[in-house]
Amino acid sequence: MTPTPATNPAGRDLISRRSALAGVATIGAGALLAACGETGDHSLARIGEAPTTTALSAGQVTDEVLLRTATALEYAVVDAYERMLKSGYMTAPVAALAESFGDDHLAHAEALRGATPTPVTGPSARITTLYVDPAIALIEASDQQDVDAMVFAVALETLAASTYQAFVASLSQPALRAEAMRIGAHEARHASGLVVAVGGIASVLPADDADPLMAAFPSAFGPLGNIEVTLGPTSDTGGRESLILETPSLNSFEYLD
Amino acid sequence: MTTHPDRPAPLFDRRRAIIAALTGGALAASVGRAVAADDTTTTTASPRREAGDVAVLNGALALERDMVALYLAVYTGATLSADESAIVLTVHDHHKAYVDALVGYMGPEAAPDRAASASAPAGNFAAIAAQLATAEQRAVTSHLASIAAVRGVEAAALLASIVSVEARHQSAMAILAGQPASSVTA
Repeated sequence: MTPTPATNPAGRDLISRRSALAGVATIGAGALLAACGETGDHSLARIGEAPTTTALSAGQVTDEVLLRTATALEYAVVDAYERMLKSGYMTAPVAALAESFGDDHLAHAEALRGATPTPVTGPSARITTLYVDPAIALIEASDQQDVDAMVFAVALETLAASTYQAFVASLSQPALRAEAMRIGAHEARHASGLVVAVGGIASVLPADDADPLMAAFPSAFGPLGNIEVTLGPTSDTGGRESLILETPSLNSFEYLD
Repeated sequence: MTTHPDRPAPLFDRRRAIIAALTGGALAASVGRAVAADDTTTTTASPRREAGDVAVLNGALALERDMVALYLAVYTGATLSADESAIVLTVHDHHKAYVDALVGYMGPEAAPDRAASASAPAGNFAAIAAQLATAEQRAVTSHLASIAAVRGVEAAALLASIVSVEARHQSAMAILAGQPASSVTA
């Protein structure tokens, strides 16, 4: 006798509850898998909609962009000296040197501007907003304005020298690199000259308990790192405010529109 | 990136015409020549290292070895105060570091040390400092020419890091020699 499909020799149903449930599960899994492969809007409900975004255009860093950035930096330094001198923060011999340095920076800016196809015409808004304006405010509030003005001047010259040094690695032409560093060397002479003119021989080398920024030779190689400058009045806890100056980089270059 | 609109700068504007005539013109011409030789609107990738830079770098290396010898002669042969001695030794160490950096960069292509020697400049520290300032200025001028001659970016960056401090050496030494700061930093 041929057993019927629904029975086994022992007589029990092959279509048991267990096998029925297994069958349902198989069908259900198959339906789920089929649903996953379907197209169409089956998105889960959510609150709000993410707006579409427009990617920023990538700024191209060309030699012209670097020259524009250097020009804007020079004008920012001229502006800083202008404001400090007109406010009377600087005393002799710093004031006389500051006027001379301002002339030099203006000459640098004019030279760079004259050689750039699409020059900038004023100071860097970013450098002015982030560095010059806060520094001037701190100097104004300081009880040693002449000292702070001199310290900020050294910081600006160091920033300028570091900027040109940093640009050497980014400029595409050797002749342009050399001209940039020629200007950078001039700024470096400003920095150390100002320090030694005021502090004498004791200010040539970094002292253990002194700010390395105020040494004529702070390091063996030209620094490219942050420049920390402490300015302003002393707080009740004995501290003073510090600004961190950085050389211009990708988010502060004077890109072409 | 926006800049401030043209902001009147009366203090320095009065000097614009004079500056352009005396200094800006020459500087603008040198920058202009460099820019004219360059397409400033595009950027061509520069080589990181260039084999042909070795000859220029060995010239810079020879110069720095001479500076090491000069400062060593001053340190050992001149009569110096404690401060003066410390300065001379520090600058000697700086130039030694430049030698080491150039040798390290060039590796086996660095020229062998020819044991340069020098005589200590005569006179008091002011006279010595004046001669050291001149030597530093010559080094700066030479290295700037080297930056214009090398094609590799890394070599140019190394020389630039040396120039930045040798310019500081020059102005500090000149002021210590008694020269007015205004002329030294001009």
